[in-house]
Amino acid sequence: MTAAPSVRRGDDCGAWAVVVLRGEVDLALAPALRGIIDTLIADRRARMVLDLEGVSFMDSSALGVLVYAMRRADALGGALRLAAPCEPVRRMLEVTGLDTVIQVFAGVRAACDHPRL
Amino acid sequence: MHKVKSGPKEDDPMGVGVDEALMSVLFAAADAGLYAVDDEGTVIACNPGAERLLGYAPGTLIGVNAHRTLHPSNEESAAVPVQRPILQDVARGKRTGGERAVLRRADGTPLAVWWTTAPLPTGAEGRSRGAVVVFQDATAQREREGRRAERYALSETMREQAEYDLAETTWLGELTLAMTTTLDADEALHRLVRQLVPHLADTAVVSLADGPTHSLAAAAHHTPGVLPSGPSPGGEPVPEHPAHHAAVTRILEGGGTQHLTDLAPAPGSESDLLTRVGAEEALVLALRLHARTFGALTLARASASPPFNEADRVLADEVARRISLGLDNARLHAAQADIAAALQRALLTDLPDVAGIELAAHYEPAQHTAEVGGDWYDAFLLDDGDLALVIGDVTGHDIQAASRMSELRNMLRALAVDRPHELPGQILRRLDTAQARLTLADSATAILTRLHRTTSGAWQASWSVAGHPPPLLITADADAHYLTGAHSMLLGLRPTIERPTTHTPVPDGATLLLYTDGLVESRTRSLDDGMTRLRQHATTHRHLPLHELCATLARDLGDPRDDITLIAARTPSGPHTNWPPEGRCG
Repeated sequence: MTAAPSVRRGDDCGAWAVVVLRGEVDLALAPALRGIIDTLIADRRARMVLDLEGVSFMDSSALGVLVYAMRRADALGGALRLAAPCEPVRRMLEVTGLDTVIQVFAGVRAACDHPRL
Repeated sequence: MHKVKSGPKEDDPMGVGVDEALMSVLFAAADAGLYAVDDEGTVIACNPGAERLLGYAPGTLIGVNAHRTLHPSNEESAAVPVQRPILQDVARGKRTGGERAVLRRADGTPLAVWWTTAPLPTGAEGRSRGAVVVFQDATAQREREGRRAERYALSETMREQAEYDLAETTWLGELTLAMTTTLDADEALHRLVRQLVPHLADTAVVSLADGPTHSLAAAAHHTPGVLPSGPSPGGEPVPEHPAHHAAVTRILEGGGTQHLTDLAPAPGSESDLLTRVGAEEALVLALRLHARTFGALTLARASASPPFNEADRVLADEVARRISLGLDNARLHAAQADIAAALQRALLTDLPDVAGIELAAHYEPAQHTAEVGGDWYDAFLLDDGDLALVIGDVTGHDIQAASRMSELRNMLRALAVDRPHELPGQILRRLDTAQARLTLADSATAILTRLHRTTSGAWQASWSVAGHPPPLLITADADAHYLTGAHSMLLGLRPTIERPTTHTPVPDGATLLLYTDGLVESRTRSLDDGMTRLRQHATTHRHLPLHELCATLARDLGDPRDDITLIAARTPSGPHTNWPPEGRCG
């Protein structure tokens, strides 16, 4: 059973701001996710980890927000990292080629600890 | 009618001058008990109802002293109000009665009654000659009142609990989330009614206006399975209780909250929804915002639950308000999505006529218009007779995605036509640059394919993939397979990257199929599973006429929650006919 869709700020992990996503991330949730990204960028928190552990599905609206977040983070000299995507989400990142421009890690801790490229 | 044998037979004790036979019938037929007493309190006449209710054998009530025998003493009926002997009042010529009285039955047990009495006509000496007493069994009514009192007592503790819950506010928050985490009103309502039970009611029903009438949109009962969760597809609708129908109708006409109490099963309709769940009372609230009435919310409780109190009503009002906001939001979104769908359809191209090549396309907008988005297909001729085939998907599902799709589509057309001899990868790279400079869209996926003939006359496809699921090649005499290679990331991410192009021979009678993810991916099916199914299904149906093949694949495989877009080109099945075209040299 999939979790109810939700998005919220998690506890910071070192210099990284963590955003926790759950359930199906689609058109309905995308504006809330974008809102959190905008708040972080406004606070110049440009190192962001999206915790995707509980995400069962992402549609193209969610994809658009990932690209948006990556661009914003890059522009401020930060980065967007993804943590713990499940297989369907991993495949989507692969097909779209997003995994070649956004780093993907096994978990939030690994994402925060990884040195900058 | 039994009469005392020694009574004043001939002087008509009732004094009404009515035909005795008619009186007998009336007395015998009456459901209520009737008896007449003389001025001593002795029963001088009674009907079968009185004997039955009081437990006397036929004929044995006559002669009994009602005052001493039928009226329990105060000690025996401590729980009931002191009864004044009837005759005291009657003696003064008063017509009297009571709703809470007790008569003693033959076996000594008490019988709760309501009663009225009136003096018999006075005799010649001006003295009352007795009284007639009419009484009815009030046991059922008394029990009902008792139950109600218990329910009220219970409601106090429930109210405290409700206030505690309300203080938490999490429930209302969850409720709002249920309404707003989807823009699909039907789904939102189903989630919502499930959250209303048993917290606020035993049964929750949302009825939505449908022109002048209304229909059940969602219902939930605290025990799953008792009710269908919505109107059964193609089946008979769940019958509606007449009182509920009337209440919802009043609301649709502008009425306020309707409180239905003492809901009895409607005669001849034991299968209606409220009867099925044993509803005792119901609050029917308007779902209304800015004078627009969407429908009604019905909250019903069975007799085992406490009645709705003031706190419940306040909470119910708040719930109705939030549902109305959610419905209005979904309505606005659907209106916008309708525009997006219309825009999208208008932008989708008429397919060109190409000598020798059969073309077909299929576009199916998402079932719920809220999900309509930026899919596109395109086919156009390049100046040397080559055919450009395009499929693409702009991220997002809204009117903005549809308009950005049109920008990208037109840009790609211009870039491809401008330098027709460039490879698809080179053209997509220029689209990357344009997109990044002009911030045309957040991101988009696409495939650009050029279908052309080699100098030998054989067909060849050259293609480049930008973050999109791969093309499928369906040959006439072998299994379909995906064209891998020439795969790169989606558009607009890195304007400087080189984009590869791959060339593949396309056999005679083969079909090149481009599609969007709605055909292969869904919330319940992984991309890999979907791609396997598409390959198998396309192989099975490879001999269908091209437009039928596209329609079949979309119908059998597509996710109705997403846009489904396909474009396909089929090469002629004969040997290289009509090549080179007239006036041209290979």
